[in-house]
Amino acid sequence: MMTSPDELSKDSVEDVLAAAEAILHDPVAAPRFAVPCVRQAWAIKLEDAADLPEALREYDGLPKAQRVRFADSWQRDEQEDGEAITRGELLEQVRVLRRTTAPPNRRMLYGAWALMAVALLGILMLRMYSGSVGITQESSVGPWRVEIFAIKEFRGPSAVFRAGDADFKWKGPPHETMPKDKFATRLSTCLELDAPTRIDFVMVANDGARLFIDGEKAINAWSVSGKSRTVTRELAAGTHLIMIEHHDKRGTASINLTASIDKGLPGPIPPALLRYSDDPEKC
Amino acid sequence: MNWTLRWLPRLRWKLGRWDSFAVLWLLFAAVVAVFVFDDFGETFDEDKHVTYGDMILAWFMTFFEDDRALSYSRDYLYGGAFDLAGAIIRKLLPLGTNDAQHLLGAIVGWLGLLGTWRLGRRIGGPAVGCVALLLISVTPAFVGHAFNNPKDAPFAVGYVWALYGIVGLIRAAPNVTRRHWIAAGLFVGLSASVRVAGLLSFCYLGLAVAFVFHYGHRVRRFGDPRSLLQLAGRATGAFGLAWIAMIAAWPWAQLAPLRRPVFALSYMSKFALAPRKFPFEGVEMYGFEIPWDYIPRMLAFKLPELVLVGLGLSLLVAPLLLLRERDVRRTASWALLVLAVLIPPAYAILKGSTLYGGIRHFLFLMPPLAVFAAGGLVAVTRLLLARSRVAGLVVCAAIGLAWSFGLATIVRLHPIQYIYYNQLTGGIAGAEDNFELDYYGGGYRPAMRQFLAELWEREPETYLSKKVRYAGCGGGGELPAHFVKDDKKPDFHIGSTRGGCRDKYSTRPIFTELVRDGVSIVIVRDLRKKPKNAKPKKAK
Repeated sequence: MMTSPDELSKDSVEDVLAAAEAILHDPVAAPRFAVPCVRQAWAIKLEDAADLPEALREYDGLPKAQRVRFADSWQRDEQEDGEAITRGELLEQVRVLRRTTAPPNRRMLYGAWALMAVALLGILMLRMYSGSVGITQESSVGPWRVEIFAIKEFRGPSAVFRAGDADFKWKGPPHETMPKDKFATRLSTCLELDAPTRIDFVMVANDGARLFIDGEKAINAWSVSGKSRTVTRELAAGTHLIMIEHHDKRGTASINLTASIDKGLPGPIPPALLRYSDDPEKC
Repeated sequence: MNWTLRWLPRLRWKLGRWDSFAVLWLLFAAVVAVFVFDDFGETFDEDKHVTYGDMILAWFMTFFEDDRALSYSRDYLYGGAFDLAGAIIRKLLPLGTNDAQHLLGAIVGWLGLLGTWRLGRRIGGPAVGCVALLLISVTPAFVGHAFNNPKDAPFAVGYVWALYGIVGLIRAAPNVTRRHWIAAGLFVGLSASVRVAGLLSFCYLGLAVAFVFHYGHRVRRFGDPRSLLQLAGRATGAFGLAWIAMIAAWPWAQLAPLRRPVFALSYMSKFALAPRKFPFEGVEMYGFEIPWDYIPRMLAFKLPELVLVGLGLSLLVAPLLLLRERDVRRTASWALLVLAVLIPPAYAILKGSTLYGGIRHFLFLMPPLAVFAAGGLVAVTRLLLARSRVAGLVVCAAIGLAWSFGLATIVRLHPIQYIYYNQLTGGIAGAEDNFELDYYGGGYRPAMRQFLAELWEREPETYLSKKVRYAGCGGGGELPAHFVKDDKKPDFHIGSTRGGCRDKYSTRPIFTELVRDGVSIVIVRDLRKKPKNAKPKKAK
């Protein structure tokens, strides 16, 4: 019994072509036995089994002359009194199908998608690094060192982690090992400038904080909650230690430091200008 | 460089012109998405979904001890696949909460484009797939929701992939491979894992199984009991996989996996949480008072004109093409798509469902509608090209022109594309006061960025003052920490079109406004200055 094209699995395009080739290379087998296989392979390739000549004519993956020739041969084959498709025509189509279908095609596409994913991730990383998209909170690669103490005197056991930005709001405990109230936080980072730069630092904290630049107290808002404090500094080229000490009495705690660099719109300090230091006292 | 030059023509040769263009467009869309995802603002639904996502993650991380996800707000009735993915991506990437969510939205939205292309391609061939992709890319409602809608957009994406999987079964009949069954089951389950309305896809899956059986019977594939048993076993497996995928990230449903999803569906169809009025065709109404034809009318107003034309053409040429069609599987695929577009609105109309927020609850219809429209446009263009090359080329040029207008609209409305209305309502200007515009609060982020930039430029001393007080209906999350909400003595009022909030304090000067197509979407008013016609205080 001859196999109907419908009974050939889509996954077996390789087998279909192999079967067609075996028949076509067999000198005693009539080429018409290979017709269903080749037809099915085209159906898989073009996702269209209904009107193969028409689908082939519209298929733009082959040179025009070739696809018209293929379409004509199938049209001729479909006509009841038409001339059957020849062995040579079938063999040529099998060769074309082998070349254009299956593994290399998929491999190339998957490779393209993978390349695209890597490229996009690269763009995203660049955007994060340049500060055009904000990175924040607990980040294993952030430039801020955050140390939280259970008491506001900055003594005793502490929890340390890295952060992308000095912007925190805690409604509960700031860390799983810390109490939710009456804790203290020390944030530090190294600011690296290529040229002398004017920077307006804007700090808002709940319940109180102070900002140190190169060890010098620049803002003292230890007992001021929820109001911004600003300081302007002309910083020389080089590395500067930025440190914030913050404490919480009770309820919501927050700390936020933004900066206006050379009179630009205040925002988080770009991570590209910051460097992580394990020592909160020096860079 | 050499590698690229060699590789691109190979891609084109291997894939054909339409597919190559589709792949390049998808690449372009992905690059654009990475650059713009952080422009999109937080919408009103996002906060709860972020919390729900964290709770689902905690449910798994604590080995089911932390059970807050079982009763959180009304969200426990929703599958949490997208929310859980959001919680995981927030852990993996050092991005802010909203930015991480919107990056995930961008990825899922891009998958929606991919799914629309694949569905169109599977049903109508490469040309239909590519045109469907281009049409959905310029459908403002879909693009605008993709980044910051944590429910409707992921569901729309799940729905189009579910249809893709199901159509795959039909197209492969009667020799459906294991891979087809797994894909169909997985996609159907994932669509329902965001919104339980995805249970409808189970019905489509059932129809597809019936078709596979019928078709196999016709071509004598299932002549022996063994093949029949194999079909039954694989179909049951697909349903089982779909059910597992549906509840995998849905803690509440996991405790009664068979009963609770069905209960959620029946509860959700009676769901009427919309205690606010909104304008529809100039009349203020509640979501439960809408006319029966709200959905078709909103679709007619929210879809781009080119999609509407495509839909009209597909209605015209469909009978002709279906009569010519010899492959019953292709006819069945189109028929399934018709059902997938007609059944959900018909069900909502019959049940009298509560609707609001434009057409966002039916956003999932947009990808299949784009496929229909693409089918119509491609068929008519081909018919014309076959008869008169000039006429065909003129139509192609007209389609290209209309599409580029659509693309310009997407760029112009960025990042609040969902406020779009087509020319049937007179555009956004015509829809102002007659329909909902910024119903989702997405306009606040661009408006606040604009407000801060202008405040810094015009009054840096105010920007740096100890406290800046504001009142209004949103936008606080986008402001610096010393901008505090104070309804009693505000310096500024921030309001968008939703609930007429933008028109409050209308006598006070406008400090800045977010304008799209001539309509003020968000207005920031300066309340520090008294209005010109303010009455003087009475002397004591």
